[in-house]
Amino acid sequence: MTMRNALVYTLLVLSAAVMLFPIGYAFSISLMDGGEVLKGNLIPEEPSLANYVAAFDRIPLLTYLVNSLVVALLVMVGQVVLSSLAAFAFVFIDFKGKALIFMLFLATMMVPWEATMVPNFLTVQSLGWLNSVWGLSVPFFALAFGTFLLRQQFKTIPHEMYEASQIAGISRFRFFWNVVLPVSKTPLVTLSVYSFLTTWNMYLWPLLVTNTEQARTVQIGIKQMQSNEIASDWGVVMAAVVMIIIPTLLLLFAGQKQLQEGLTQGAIK
Amino acid sequence: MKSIQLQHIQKSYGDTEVIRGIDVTIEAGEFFALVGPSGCGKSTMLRMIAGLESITAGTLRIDGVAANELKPSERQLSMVFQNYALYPHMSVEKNITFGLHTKGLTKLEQRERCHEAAETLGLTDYLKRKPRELSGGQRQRVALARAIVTEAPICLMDEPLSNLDAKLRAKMRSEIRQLQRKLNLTMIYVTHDQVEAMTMADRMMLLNEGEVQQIGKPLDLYNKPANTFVASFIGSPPMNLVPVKRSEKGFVASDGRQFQPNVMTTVETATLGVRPEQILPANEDVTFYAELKNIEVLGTETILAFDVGGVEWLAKWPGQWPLSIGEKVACYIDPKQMSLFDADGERIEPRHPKLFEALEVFQ
Ligand SMILES: Nc1ncnc2c1ncn2[C@@H]1O[C@H](COP(=O)(O)OP(=O)(O)O)[C@@H](O)[C@H]1O
Ligand SMILES: [Mg+2]
Repeated sequence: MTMRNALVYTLLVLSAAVMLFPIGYAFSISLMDGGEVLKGNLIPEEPSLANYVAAFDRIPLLTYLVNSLVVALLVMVGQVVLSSLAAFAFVFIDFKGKALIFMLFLATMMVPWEATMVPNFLTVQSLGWLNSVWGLSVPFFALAFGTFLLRQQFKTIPHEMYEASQIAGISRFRFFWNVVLPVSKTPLVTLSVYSFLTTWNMYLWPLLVTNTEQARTVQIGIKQMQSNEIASDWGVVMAAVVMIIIPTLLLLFAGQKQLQEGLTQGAIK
Repeated sequence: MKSIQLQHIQKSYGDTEVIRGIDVTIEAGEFFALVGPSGCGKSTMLRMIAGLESITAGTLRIDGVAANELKPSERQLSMVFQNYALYPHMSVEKNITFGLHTKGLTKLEQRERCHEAAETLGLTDYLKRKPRELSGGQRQRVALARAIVTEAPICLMDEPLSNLDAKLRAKMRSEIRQLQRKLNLTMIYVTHDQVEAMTMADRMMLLNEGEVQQIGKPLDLYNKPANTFVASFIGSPPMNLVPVKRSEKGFVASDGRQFQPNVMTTVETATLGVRPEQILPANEDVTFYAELKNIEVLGTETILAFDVGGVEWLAKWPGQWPLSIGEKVACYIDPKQMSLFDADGERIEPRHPKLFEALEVFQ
């Protein structure tokens, strides 16, 4: 058994090292000056933060970060609110054609997002939302996957709880807010993390609907650096990359703790 | 106190009829048990009364007022679910008070009521705990507290004790009964356990496959089962039944055993029923001899098993009888204690006792 464990852990450590190498190397480069990078050093000889200062100085990295943060948070809130309300309706409210509508909902998951890009672009354009956070966020609010995920969770809530609240005269919204959401913390956190990360890493759509520096998000910003003269200065590029990874990692760690709490709670019960 | 009237209530899911026309009036302040085997439609019935399930046809009246279209919260009732349906993330106190705001109570009044209910059910020390930190019995009490805190005049319970162990069940049985009396509740209590119904109910209704088999006081169902289904459902062990044919002197089973029940009837074939405790050790008159297939000597009674017309019968004799398997014992059954059911299983009413005596003298 311990032999097996040793083998498993060795493999895990190796995989983790392979996975983490690019990030570690990027971080390492961000602390080197140009000459050192070209020498092919793995570890900086004289670590300095000069590249970070340069990154904020030479491109509006802070604007990009704020834009991305606002958009990602908006999409996250929008998706969680709409998905949970839709899932609640699918689980707790009886209406005609429920199964059919849910099938249609799921069917939208089969349509690749790129296929709807042109109509979405035209809609956003006619609303005058180009170069605004609304154009970047609103088209993503409705999420079939989120609805599906939360519906599966809500279905595990005993229906009697809903009926008990009906007999007590508790309104649907209060039941949703005070019972359904609190007992579904784990999938809500999962969905939030998923929403945030997907939006944070989004590239194609922001490229389409933004063309000013004020409106751009980080992923576009990084890409733009390559077409600028800064591109040759790998230290600065990596410093910017490290800066935009940080929120992602923070969220993952925070989310992971929440997730683990949720999971162990379920196990003990 | 409110009465509940069901007037030809029916329920179908698509083409399948689940409840086939039920007529009954449940009096105000009555403890009414709804009994039947699993899947017979008890929960459906209760949920229609609660308003959680629509009524396909018929009228439900609460205190004389048609209530078919009322929302559950407008029916002035509370309900206890089989799985308790407590809110897992709320404290006991919050579980009990959640929803009281809809009754227009202030926070202070809510707390007072909660403490009162908690005291009644011995939950005062557990108010701050979460449901998962309670034992099964305590959770059950929280569910009861949540029902009584609303002070609704009608209380519905769906198999509330089925998740408890036998000892606790017996205790909660009497507690629920006392609570119902004290608060003067009109109670509709669903159970598949006939013992629960027999011991708790003022009146009971036995359902089978969505049809009423009999409504009455527990002892009426026990002593005068309306049909063979009631006879075989009520009592433990239930009534012994055997198919019989008309003979010169009464009825005869396929093994030739003769019975002379106190019934005047022209039917050719019938089912004869006798309660186990009505099969007595014979003194002078012998109804039949039984060859023992099995014997269980319990402290206060002895259960004898033997064959009658191809059917296993059980007899319950008071006291401890040191008999052995294979032994032949003489049994006596008072003809007045025999029930007879016609070919459709319906009870054939016995002759009036006085008339019976007169006829005996005449013969
Ligand atoms: N939503 C439903 N759709 C179809 N059939 C149902 C539904 N609910 C209950 N039934 C059927 O109705 C019958 C009675 O169910 P129920 O009232 O739960 O029985 P009980 O509580 O007596 O065990 C069962 O045969 C069950 O399969
Ligand atoms: Mg049931």
